[in-house]
Amino acid sequence: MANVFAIIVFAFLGGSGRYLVGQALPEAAGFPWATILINLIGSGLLAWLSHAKRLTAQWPEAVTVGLGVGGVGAFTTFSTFSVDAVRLVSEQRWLAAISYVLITVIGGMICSALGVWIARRWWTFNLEEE
Amino acid sequence: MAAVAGLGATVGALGRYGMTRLVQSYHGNRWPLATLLINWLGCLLFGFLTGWQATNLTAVLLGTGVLGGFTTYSTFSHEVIMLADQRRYGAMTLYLLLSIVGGLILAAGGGWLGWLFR
Repeated sequence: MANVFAIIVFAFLGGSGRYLVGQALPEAAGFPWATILINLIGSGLLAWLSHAKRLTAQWPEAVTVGLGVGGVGAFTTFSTFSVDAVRLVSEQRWLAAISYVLITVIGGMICSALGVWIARRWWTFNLEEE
Repeated sequence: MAAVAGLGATVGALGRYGMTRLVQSYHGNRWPLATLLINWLGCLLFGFLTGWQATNLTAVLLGTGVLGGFTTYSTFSHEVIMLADQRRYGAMTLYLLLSIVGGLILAAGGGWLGWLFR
């Protein structure tokens, strides 16, 4: 129950945050920069949070679940990414569509790997986790 | 409108949490099937909303809010990286391709369906 409550609170923040970033960063040249930024930052944060055990051990598990599943999970979005990519294809803007997909996929993996690495380097217990 | 998106996102995130637990109770969590199904379903429905040309309020509540919060990119990236970390490169490539290519096809198909029902 605590998990559900934490997810509700943080998902509200994550979802409104995504909307506000979208408003603040309108599409430049029809290219969805806001979604790229959101998904890359979120990928790094979630990966870091999932492995920063030395930090997350200091608060109730519900906070970590709320932040991860609710906050960062709702902040990032897979559906908007796919629909935007399809829209670029339907407008026959092939180069924009391909670069959008590649930047999101490769950038997301790099940010995620960095998040894991940073957390394991500085925020994990000495005995390796997992 | 930000609060509308936020409200929708709480519903979406809870749906994702419930569906992840449900799928993992059957399938386990060795392969990230739950996130794949969630993202596929979300892409299909978001495509439908776009093709259907929902009004602005509906689009923000159901699209940006519910479906945006239901689907997740951060969990997807993290699962890809963890499969690589476990040196399960075949599973990683399969998960990556199914997610991206499947998501694009479903978003396009959903858009077409929405356009039909407009």
